[in-house]
Amino acid sequence: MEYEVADEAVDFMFQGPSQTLKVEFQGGEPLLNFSLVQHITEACEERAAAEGKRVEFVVCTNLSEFTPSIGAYCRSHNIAISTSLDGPPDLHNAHRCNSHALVVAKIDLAREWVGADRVSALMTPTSLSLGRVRDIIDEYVARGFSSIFLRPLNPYGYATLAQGLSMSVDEWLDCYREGLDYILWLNRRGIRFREEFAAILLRRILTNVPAGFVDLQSPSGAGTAVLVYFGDSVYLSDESRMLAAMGDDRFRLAVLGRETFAEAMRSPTFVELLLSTMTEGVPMCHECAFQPYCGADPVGHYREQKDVVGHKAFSEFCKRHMGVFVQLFELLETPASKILTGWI
Amino acid sequence: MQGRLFRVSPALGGGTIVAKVTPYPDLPQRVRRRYILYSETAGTVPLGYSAYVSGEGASQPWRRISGTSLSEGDVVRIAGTMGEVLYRRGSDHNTLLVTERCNCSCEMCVQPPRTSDDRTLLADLHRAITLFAKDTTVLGISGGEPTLLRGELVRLLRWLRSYLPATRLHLLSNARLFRYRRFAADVGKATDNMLTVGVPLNSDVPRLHDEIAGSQHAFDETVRGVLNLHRHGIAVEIRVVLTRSIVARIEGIAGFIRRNLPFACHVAFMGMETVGNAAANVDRLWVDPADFVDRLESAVGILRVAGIPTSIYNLQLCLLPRSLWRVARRSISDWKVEYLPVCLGCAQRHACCGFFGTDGMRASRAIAQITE
Ligand code: SF4
Ligand code: SF4
Repeated sequence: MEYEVADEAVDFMFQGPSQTLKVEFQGGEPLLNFSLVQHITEACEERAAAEGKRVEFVVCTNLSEFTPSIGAYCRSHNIAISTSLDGPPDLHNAHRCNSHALVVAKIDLAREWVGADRVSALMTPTSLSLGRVRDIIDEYVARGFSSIFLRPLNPYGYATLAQGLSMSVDEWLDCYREGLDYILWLNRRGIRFREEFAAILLRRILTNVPAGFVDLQSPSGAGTAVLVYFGDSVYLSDESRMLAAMGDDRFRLAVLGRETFAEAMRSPTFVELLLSTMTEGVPMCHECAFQPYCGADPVGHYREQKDVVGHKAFSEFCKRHMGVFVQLFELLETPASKILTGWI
Repeated sequence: MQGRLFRVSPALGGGTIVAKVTPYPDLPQRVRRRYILYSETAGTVPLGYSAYVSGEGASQPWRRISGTSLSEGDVVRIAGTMGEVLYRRGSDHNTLLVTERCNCSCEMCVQPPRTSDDRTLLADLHRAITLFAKDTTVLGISGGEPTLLRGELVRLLRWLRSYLPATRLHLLSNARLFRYRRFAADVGKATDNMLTVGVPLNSDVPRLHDEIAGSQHAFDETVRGVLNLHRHGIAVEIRVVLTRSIVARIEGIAGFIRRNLPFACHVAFMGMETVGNAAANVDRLWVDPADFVDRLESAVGILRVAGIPTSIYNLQLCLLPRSLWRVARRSISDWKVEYLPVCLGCAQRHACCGFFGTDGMRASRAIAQITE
C-alpha cells in the first residue's frame, strides 16, 4: 500500500462514527514494511487524539522479522501481536515450511517486549490437524499461552486452495468437542486455559457485553463492525478481498478517494445487504432458539450458495454454529459450567 | 512450616531446576517439564516431570524435602540439596531477591550484602516469573540493592510487566543510583505506573543518615534519587526503621518528609527485625517501643496533617495507643509470624502483626494481653 493511499484509508475510517477503532495490520508480512505500519499508527494516534477517539492496533505477523527495536515501538504505541502457531513442530512445520523453532523463539521475544497477554497466536486447522487437537492444545499450554481459538478452516486459505487439505463441518465439530472437553479436563488439573470461541459465545449468551465478534452480529458485522482496506479499495471482509482477487468484486464497498464513508454506507447495494442479513427475519433463523446469540455471514453464504442470505439447511455456517451452541448449552447444565463461566 | 529455604535429599542431579508445583500425576507429557510433582505418598512415577518430591520420601526418583511444605501453584528452585520457594501461590508477601550486593552497609540491615552470582540468579528468576499466577496482586523486588543491576533491572522489570500485567510491583531500594535521570526514566518507562519504590530514610540530618547507612553521600544521593523517581512518575514510599538512633529524630524525619517529599505515596514506620546486621548490633540499636510510642504518635500526626498516608509495621497492638491502631498493619510475612504465649486469648490477636519468628522474638516489656 502506498503512503498516500494509507492516508486516505486513515481518513476514511475516521469518518465513521465509532468512538473506539481497532486497526489490524495484515499482509503479506507487515513487518517487512514496518515503516508503513509506523506511519499509519502515528497518523491514527494523531487523529484519535484530535477527535477524542480511542484507537487500538494489532499486527498479524509470522514474527520472523521481529526485533527488539520493533518490540520497543510496539510497546510504546500499545500495538498487540497476533501470530500463527498451528501445533507441535511436525504439524506446524508441515503447514509452514519448517518455521516452528523460529516462531516459538520469536514469541518469547515478543512477549518480553510487548507483554505476554498482548501476544496471541491463531492456529489454522487442515485435514492434517484431524485427530491432533489435543496435541495442538498441549503445544499452546507448553508454550505458555493461556488460551486457544479453535478455529474452523478458512475456505480461501492457501492450504485449502493449493493442497486440498480441507476438513468437513462434521469433522470440525468432532474436533471442537474433543478439544473443548480436553481443555475442561486441563482446568480440573489446575491449568487455567480458555477456548476463545466458547468464551465469545458465552459472553454473548450470558452477558450484555457486546461480543465484538464479526460473525455474531445481526445485521452482518462484515461492513458494519469490520472493513478491510486493500490496495485502494475497501472491502466488507477479508474473504471479500480474496473473492475480488478471483475476479468478483461485488463486496467492494468503496474506492478510496472516490466515495466518502457516508456514501459507502448509504449505497443501495450495501443497505440491501444489511436488510437481508437481519437474522431476526431470515428464514429458519427467525424461528431458531439460538438466533439471539448467532449472526450472519453474507460473504460466506454467497461463496457457498451464490446468495448472501443462504438456505440454512445447506449452510456450513449454520451447521457449525448450531453444533457449537448445542454443545455449550449441554455443558452449561453440567458442573463444567463453573469453569466455562470463568472464561467470560 | 512455611520456610523459604528447604532441604532436598537425596541431592537432585542435573543442574538447577525452576518449576511449578503440581499434585497431578497425569498432566500432558508436553507440559510436564514445567512442573515438579509433589505427592505425600510418593507413589507411582509418571515420566517427564522435572522432579518428584514428597514429604515422606521413598525410593528414587522421589526426593524428601524438609523445612517447608509446598502447595499447588508454588514456584520453586532446586539445585542439589538446596531448595528455595521463589513464589507462594496466593500470598501477598512474595519477594524476588535479585542480588545480594549493596552500595550501603546499614547498621540495621537484615540481609547484609554478599557477593552473588547475579547472572544465574536472574536467568532463574526470568524463567520463574513466567510460571507465576497471572492474578498475583503484588510482588516485591529486593536485595541487596537491586539498582546495582542497572540495565538488567530494567529488563527484569519489563519482563515482570510483560508476564504479570495486573500485578503491582514494589521495589526496595536506597534510590542512590536513581540520581541518574536516564536510569530513573528507563525504569519509569518499563513499568507503566505499576511500580512503587520503597526507600529507607534514616534521618533528616545528612551526616546522621550517612553514618547509619555506613556510606558517605548516601543522604544526598538518596534524596536526589527520590526526586528523580517522582519526576518520572514513579510512586515513592518512604520507610523509617525504628532503631535507637533513628527514633531519636523521628519527628524531625516526619517534618522533613512533609516539607521536602510531600509527594510520597506512603510512609512506613517499621519495627526492627533483629536478624543480620541488626542482630549483631542489637544492644546498640534496639530500643523498647514502650519508650518511644508518644513520639511515634506525634510523628504520625505530622504526616496525617500533611495528608500523607502512613502505616506502622511490626509493632504489636498492645504497645500502641488506640489512636494508632488505625495505621498499624499486619505486616509480618505469613511464613515468619509467631505469637507469644501471652497472646493466646488476646482479643486483638487477629488484628495484631505478631512477632518475627526469625529473630528470637525480642519483645517489649509492655506486651500485655488485650481483653476487649
Ligand atoms: S444457528 Fe443457524 S438457524 Fe440458528 S440463528 Fe444461527 S444460522 Fe440461523
Ligand atoms: S498480646 Fe500478643 S496478640 Fe495481643 S496485641 Fe499484644 S502482641 Fe498482639
